[in-house]
Amino acid sequence: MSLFRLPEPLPRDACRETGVLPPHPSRGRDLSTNPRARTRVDDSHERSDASLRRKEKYVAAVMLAAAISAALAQTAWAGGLTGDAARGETLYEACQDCHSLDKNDVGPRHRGVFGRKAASLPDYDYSDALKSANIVWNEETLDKWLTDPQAVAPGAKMFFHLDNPQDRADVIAYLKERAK
Amino acid sequence: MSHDHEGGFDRRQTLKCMLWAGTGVVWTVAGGVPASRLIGSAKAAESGFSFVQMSDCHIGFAKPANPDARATLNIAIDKVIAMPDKPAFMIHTGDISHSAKPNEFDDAQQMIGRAKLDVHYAPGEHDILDPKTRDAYLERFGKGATGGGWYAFDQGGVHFVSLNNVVDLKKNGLGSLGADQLEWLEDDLKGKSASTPIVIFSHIPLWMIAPEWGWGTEDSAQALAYLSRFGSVTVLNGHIHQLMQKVEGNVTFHTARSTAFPQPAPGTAPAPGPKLVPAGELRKWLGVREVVYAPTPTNLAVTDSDLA
Repeated sequence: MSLFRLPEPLPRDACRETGVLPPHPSRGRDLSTNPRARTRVDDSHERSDASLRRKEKYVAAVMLAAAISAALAQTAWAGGLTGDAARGETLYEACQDCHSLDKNDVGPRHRGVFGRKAASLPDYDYSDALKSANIVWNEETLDKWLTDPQAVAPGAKMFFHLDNPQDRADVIAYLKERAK
Repeated sequence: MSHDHEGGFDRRQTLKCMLWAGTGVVWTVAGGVPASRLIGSAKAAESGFSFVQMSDCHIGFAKPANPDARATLNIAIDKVIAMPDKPAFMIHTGDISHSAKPNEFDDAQQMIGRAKLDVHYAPGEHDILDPKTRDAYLERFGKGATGGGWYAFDQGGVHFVSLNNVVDLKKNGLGSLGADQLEWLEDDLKGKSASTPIVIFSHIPLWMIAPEWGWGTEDSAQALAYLSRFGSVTVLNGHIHQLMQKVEGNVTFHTARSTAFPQPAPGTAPAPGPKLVPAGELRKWLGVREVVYAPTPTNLAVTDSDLA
């Protein structure tokens, strides 16, 4: 079972009903072969207006898609919150019971952790649980991990957790922005 | 009858315990009632003995909360050496090292050895990180202990029990004792008179201080059930790097401060961990603290005189 399962995509029909999908490429072909479309070729105003309307619809659809995607993402993890890296740096003091940026400690070093595959440092002795978890650390996976590491990888060494989603977002922002 | 006065305090009234929290706590035992005192000013009870509790030295820790945990441990040991009445021994309630590295243990033992006291250790979760470091810990500190590192000894009529509750951590990092250790404890206590004073020590508190932070031991209730028939039980723990006390029936719980860095009080921070205090104030945070403890008549009533 994947612990990082993303939200199921909406059924295709449902997407059409919401109008959130950009025009399917096949529709373009339909237009090009549509007799009515060909009749408009000679009318520059109509052609221009139609093009503008299509663009407006496309932009609106893309924006809606992005908004819904973000909303769906928030239902799956506490991401979507804007992290404050400076506050995250202060919160990171608590992490230092076991971690440092540049030196392996009770836990592995954190510099460059964002985007790194979990359990991939060659000079740290990871738990078998984390080795087999197949995780890449990003906002979502770090949020899950910081919420309850034992739920992500039962048997992992870490028990530390942050209950507040904003605290997690801030620590993640710190790791992403300042612990490169 | 035991002495009602120890070092000037009347135990039938208010017992004032002075704790020099940053370095260690001196426990004076008389009449089966251990009382903590300020290191450096403690006087061993005339008819009893004293011992030192050291905790959470985290040798190897060198971060903003304390860039030099070795230095603060050395200060603690200096305080112990300077005690006017030599303690009978020392107990260490865990997190001797920070990362369970051999050189950290070597350094800690070298520094603690300056006190020239027998030291009875209980492991912290920083001392045992995985099976490899567990085996190394038991090889170094577990001689004479049972397979899991728990053991008991007697001193001056007081029965001391050292428990290991850091091997199989539970939700949020709660400690656990496990069936084998609980069975051993039950057997160990079985032959003891109810009037035998018991001092039981481990790293993680044996009472639920903050389960959401893992500050408690999941199955400690079973251990305490075995202790309930004893008239005087004192539980000494570390782990939370701050002083807390609780009295429950005949059991008195105490946590000790670290010699390395403070941690926040439960509920005052998003998570436990090293607490950064303003530069130059670390010693103040680890410094002298006075704790006033007013025992209930029940506590005093269980005082035995067979040790006098």
